[in-house]
Amino acid sequence: METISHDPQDDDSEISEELVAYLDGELSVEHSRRVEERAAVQPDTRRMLEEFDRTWHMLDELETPATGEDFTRTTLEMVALAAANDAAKLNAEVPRARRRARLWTVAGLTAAAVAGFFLVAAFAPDPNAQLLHDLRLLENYDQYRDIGSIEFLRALSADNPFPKDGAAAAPVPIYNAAETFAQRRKLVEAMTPEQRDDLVKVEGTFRGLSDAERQHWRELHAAIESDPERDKLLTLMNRYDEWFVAQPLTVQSEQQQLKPAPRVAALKKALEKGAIAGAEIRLDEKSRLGLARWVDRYTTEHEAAILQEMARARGGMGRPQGGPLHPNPNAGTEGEAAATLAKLQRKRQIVREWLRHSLQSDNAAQHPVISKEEMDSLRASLSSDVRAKLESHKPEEQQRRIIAGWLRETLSPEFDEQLAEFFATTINKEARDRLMALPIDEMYPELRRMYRQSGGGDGLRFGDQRNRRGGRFGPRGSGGRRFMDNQTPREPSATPEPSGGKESVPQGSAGAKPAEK
Amino acid sequence: VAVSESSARRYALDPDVRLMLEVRDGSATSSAAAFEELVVRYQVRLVRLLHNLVGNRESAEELAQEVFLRVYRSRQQYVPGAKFGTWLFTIASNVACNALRDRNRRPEVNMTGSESGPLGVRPMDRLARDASGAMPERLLDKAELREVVRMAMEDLQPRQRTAVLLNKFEGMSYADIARVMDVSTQAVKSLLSRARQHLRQILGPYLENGAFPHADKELSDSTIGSGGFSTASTD
Repeated sequence: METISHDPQDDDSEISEELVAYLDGELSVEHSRRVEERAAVQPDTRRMLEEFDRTWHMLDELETPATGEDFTRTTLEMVALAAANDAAKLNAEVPRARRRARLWTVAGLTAAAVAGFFLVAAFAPDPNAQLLHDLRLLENYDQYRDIGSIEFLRALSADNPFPKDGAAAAPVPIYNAAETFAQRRKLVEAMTPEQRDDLVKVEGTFRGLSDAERQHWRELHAAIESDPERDKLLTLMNRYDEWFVAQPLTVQSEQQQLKPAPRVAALKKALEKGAIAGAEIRLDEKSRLGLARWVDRYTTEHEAAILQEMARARGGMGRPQGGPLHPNPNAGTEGEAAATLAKLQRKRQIVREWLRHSLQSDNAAQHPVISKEEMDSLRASLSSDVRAKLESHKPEEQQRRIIAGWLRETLSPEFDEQLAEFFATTINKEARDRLMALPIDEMYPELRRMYRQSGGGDGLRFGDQRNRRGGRFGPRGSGGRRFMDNQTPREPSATPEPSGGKESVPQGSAGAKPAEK
Repeated sequence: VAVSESSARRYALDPDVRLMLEVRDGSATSSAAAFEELVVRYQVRLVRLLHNLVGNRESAEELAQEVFLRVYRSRQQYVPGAKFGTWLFTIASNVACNALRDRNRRPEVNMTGSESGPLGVRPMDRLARDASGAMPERLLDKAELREVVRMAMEDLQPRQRTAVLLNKFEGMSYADIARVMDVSTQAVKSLLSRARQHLRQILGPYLENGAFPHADKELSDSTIGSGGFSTASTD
């Protein structure tokens, strides 16, 4: 630097800037020539240039980190997800716009959805990208089907009929709305094989829906996700769903046919009338097994009285069809045993249905088959906690109705179908031979016991919100569970689980139209 | 941003700019393909820059993804008025700056006050501490050299470090760096000068005789010479 400064440090800085700029090629040709001339005659300048240059080249030693193997993939997925979320947000805004400009809504909705999912497909090379994109939608698919529309959920939110101090709904896994594909992939990777099977099944069902139906559920999902009260809506949805799945099919059907406001009113009415008395009682394992044993014993011991009562009620039309409750124990072939088992199951079904009606009747005194002693015995089969809760409901007719509600689940024909399938396809020949060697009235309880041990449940899934019946698109498989429900993990069973023990939504639902759209 | 037609034409010849225009204007498929190409082209450079800025590989990758996401979300606002790399690294610089600022607001709880600089333990303090006692026996190997260089870089002020990285690894001119960092060209000149003085101060003696700086010596950006170094040798 040719300019002389009075401050030595300023001089150093200026010299340094000049030399560094020279090395970086930032000086003019003339200026560079002057620096070179000075370096030629000034050892200090030359030395500084050399040191700057050498230390600069040492930076080549800095590590150049190789990006992770999946960096590109996760980056693209993340961007695809963001793009889809952007589209979904646009999508969710459309229903509000609908009130103002319906035509624009339809056009915008379609464009947003198409753009979002096309982007996902275009960006993400991972074949699971679509599944990951839809993960949270699929997780809530059952509940979405039960609530049907965002309008109903918002009506519910505006006029929440559930008591604040009532039984709390099962915790809702409120997930991060901005989670990445990588985070979702980790969730799926952490799933058990069974959970993944469930996920794939639900996904298959969802893909089997018509475009309009899928669009409907995507709109609902996006509307909830983008709602300012998203967490509240999700919690409320879960609360409603717990109530919904515990209702008889007739109530479920009625609920789904009503418009949002009358639907909330009907719900409120049902809650006020105590139509779901006992819904707060969650049966523990001891109570489930105790009740199952009581039902088995009762239907066996009181077979004659029940059948007689049934015949009387039918106006003397004789014994119901299906043969005797205790058929020939020496059933010959395997096929005969299976047929006998099927008949026995149907018979048990009829008897238990009658039992439930007896419990549910407004005038139980007209149905003497369930004595006071038997009611005491039934209560004694429950755990002390459940029993105390049950007995807090007065009068006894109320308790009978609660028990009838529990029994409703045991009457599911799906369970007997599961049992038959378990017998026919799951257990090995040795076990089947052993069962067939038993008297038929021992065979059935033993088969149930084996089924329970296999993880297939005990058939008494009352109070279990995962036992879903009669959804919008027809009956659902019993014993299903939400594949992301980490709070109720399920131990893998030692033997294969009967297919009916998992969530199964019939493909036949594909053609149904979503209600309340 | 007003861009002259000639500038736009000139930059449109840049293949990366053309890719970005495809991201902006192309069909969903071609847009996605062009974006993927840009990610592949720039990911290593971007992660390297961010890694050296924030000092952590995992954070660097997360920030790089954030940068790419911003690029995508800003695609409609993209104007080919500059090299694509300049635009990309401008975003990266802002993202890194924000990350460092957030980090400084939440200092590491396991660090004592005396050891903590703006980014935690002062790298040169750590280096001197790690090397103490073992100096005569240690080998001057490549791994050690790399570590020393890394720590020397960490000891730079963030803005100096940004300028160095853009200049050294991205080959950016002072004008481009000024654009990325939103400062004047003269400011870049000053930043780079002070940074290289600092590097020379730390790395020069090490290169000569393996000397490490004293842990208790406060290094100054404006100090020229070897006053900040110990005289330990590597014999």
